[in-house]
Amino acid sequence: MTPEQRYFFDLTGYLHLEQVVQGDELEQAQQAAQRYIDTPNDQLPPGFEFIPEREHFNWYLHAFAFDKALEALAFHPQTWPIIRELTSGRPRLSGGNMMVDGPGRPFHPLHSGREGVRRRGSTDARHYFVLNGKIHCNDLVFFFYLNDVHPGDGGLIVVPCSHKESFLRPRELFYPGSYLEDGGYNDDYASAEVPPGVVNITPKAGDVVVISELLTHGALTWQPKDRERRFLTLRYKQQHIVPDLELPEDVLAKLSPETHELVATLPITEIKAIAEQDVVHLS
Amino acid sequence: MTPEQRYFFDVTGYLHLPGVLAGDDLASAQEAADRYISLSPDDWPPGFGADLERQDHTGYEHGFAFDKALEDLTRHPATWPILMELTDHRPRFGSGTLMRNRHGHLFHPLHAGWNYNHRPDTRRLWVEDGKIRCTDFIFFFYLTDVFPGDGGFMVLPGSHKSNFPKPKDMFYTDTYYLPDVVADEVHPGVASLTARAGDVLIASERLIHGALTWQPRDRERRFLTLRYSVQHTVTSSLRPFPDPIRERLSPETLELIELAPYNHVKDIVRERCGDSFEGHAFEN
Repeated sequence: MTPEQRYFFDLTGYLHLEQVVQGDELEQAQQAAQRYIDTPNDQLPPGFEFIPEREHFNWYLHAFAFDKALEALAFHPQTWPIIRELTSGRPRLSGGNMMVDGPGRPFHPLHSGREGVRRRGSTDARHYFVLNGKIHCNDLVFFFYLNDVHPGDGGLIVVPCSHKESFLRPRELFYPGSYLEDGGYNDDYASAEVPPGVVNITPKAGDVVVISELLTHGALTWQPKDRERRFLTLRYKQQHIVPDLELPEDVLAKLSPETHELVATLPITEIKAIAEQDVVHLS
Repeated sequence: MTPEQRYFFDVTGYLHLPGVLAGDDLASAQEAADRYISLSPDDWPPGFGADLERQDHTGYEHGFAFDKALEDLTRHPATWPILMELTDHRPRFGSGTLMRNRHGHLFHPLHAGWNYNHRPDTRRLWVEDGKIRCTDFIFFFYLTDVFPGDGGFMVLPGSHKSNFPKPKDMFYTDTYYLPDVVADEVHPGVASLTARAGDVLIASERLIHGALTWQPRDRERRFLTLRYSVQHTVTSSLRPFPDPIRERLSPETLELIELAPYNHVKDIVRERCGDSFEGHAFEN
């Protein structure tokens, strides 16, 4: 990470990397995504599934394993150094779904990995700290954007600096009415507003947005009628954080050996061979 | 502080309180500020003054003491509870400058009263028993309107908790008084705060802040900058107000500017907090 990236990520809890995927690489990723979208559920390979309107988006499960053009993004040369630094050299890819946000999708309320467990009264397993001039973060999301988002479109919103929040966010702050009284999402709520304290991130196709799972985030109601928001969501944790769910065997069977190693759970004392490589190519 | 204010200030390092001053209170403060700014240097009362040659803004010293309409803002009912929470009932008022920012003034680079490698043991901010404590902070009372695109005050939200020093020249140049620099873009990571007349902005001294180049030719940005700290820590001047200024102040303000030991309770705190102060840890 550059000093500027380190400063910005520590400050805000997110990074916006521009033009990470370009040219043929982007085109192949976009085409692979389109193939997944165009394939009916009953014709998808075992382990893959399209779930419409799951938590306000269309979900394409395990899309990262659907095509090598998407799988290769897990080791992209521009994001790999960041993954290695933030996970303290102990990365594990825990999942990679593609999400599609389109016209008519409701507002996706603000939430975070920490907020969710705190509201349920649990202690917090997610960490963020700085030691010896390096950031250590054990739960990260890399959003690879496959099409353009323009200012005014809606889409990803974050509360910068909330990865260091000391208080539980009052639920009605920023978007009152977006939650139901029982704590569930209000699916009838819509908003394209960006109140003070909130930032709307508008990546272009090929950009990557990196967030800590501690960062409070959500999505504004998608405004364009003729365009969608498509992005591959790659989730990384530290290798010694035990996964809630294992990837299906059918999906694992499609992965290259390097990705197999990346998704493996290992003790903190071990270092993966891929984690010692500056650049990783799928074999 | 409300739970919403507490959450927002903890996360961002600042608060924007809209409509704190209105009606006659606002008009009186505006009129007093205008009177001070309109005086020629020869007519400045003893103790008052300004560096009219400064290129990025003009600070009219001790503006709060120029008129009771301004002095009263040091303990305004809307900001008082916040002052009490941040200082844990140990307030000290340390400075009150009337600021003027007009077209032609230069860009005011990002800075803070603290950074990661400087004064690490002072100007602290922490959470204690569900309350925010902050040893040094500023209340900006706005006397004129600022609209989006005007320029003016900007902050780096979250920089009050930064774990790294800001890389040199990140976001904008760090060099003061560069005549050719016009900073009018709000970069990602930066927030431009556009307060209206009567609004109050509150910022921790740890928060990195500055001012974008002021754009309007027919309007100025005027605000009273009130700086507070805790009564038991001296981070700036031991005796910041000269005698001619002290002689103008009300007894309550004189007490508010005094240093005091940690366990001392100022009368103004006891009187103004009333029942809410009873049972406070001070007494034990």
